[in-house]
Amino acid sequence: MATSDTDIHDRMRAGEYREAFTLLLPRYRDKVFRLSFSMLRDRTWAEDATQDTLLRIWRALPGFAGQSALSTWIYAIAKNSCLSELRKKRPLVSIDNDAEYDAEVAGLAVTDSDDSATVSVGQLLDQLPERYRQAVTLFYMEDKSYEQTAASLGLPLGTVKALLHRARKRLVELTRESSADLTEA
Amino acid sequence: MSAPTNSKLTDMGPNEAHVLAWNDRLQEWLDGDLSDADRCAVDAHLATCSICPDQLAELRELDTLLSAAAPRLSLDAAFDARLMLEVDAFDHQQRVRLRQKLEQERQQQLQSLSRHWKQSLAFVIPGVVAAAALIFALVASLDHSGLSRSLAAESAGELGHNAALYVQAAFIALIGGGIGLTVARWLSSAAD
Repeated sequence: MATSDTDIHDRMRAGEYREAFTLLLPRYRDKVFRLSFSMLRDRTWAEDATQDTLLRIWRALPGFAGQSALSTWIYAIAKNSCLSELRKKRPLVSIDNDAEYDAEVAGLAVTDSDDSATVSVGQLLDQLPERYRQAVTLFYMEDKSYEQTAASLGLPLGTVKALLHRARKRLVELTRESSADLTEA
Repeated sequence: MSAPTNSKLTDMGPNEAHVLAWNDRLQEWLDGDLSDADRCAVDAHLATCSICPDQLAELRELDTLLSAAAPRLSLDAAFDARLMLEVDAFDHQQRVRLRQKLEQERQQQLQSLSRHWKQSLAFVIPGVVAAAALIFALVASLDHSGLSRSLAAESAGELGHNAALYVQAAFIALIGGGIGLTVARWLSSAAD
């Protein structure tokens, strides 16, 4: 039988935090990992951040009073962990502001190596504003689930759809631009 | 992995308005995010439109590429084992910290108790000694003035000699005890 958040809540209410954490771990581990990767764009870094997030959750579990949904609470901790990591790496980068998107952030990302005349998807993604790129990355990692992407990002469903539409339009434009550049060259 | 490069759409020019008008709808069609009725409407449009099938192909190509580029990320049992070791280490550290805190509190309580007793002994013992000395001095004074003796003599007349001695002793003890009690209380409050 699949574990639900209610089972985890029941354990926590009974003060059985270790059992609650054991149920929580397989349910949220990969989702936290994918969210971390969408922000950090490095597998090892995302794995470390996931471990840090889950340890923070373990420490904070007795203090969780159900003031928000368990998933919202977990994703919020994950996002904060990743933002702390990013700030450690690049203290001056503003993560939420598209206008202040810094190309240096793209330098943190793992991109496909490319020695051909074609433009890789990774390179195109690098040219997207952070929020678009994060939404796109997470959406495709989460098997194209709008609901899961919205839950992980802590954004309304409509906002996620709008972000994805804009991101894909921008990707098509970038594709056309790169095709034109290649043709001219 | 190369990005989609549909040349037909690259130079679409006058049809751009039509492309923009249908772009969102086609993406929703591709994502399976349309109601049955809307899906049928898009299907009907695609069957007659000369532009949108190309746009749909382009969106589908992009969709396929992004799906293929998305890493299949998951963590395994080894990660869980490492994490639980960290959790155990954290719990151990927390227990050690708790033990240290309890031990520190116990030491503080012992020190406080020790301080209290030292203060008590420093004030109470001299106080009791002083009270005893005061009692003896008072007894001597009473005896010198003959007050106790006269009281005892009065009592002897009424109660007999032995009883008078008892009354004298009780009288002295009462005065001495009262003074001792007062001094001890004062010293005790001073010590606190």
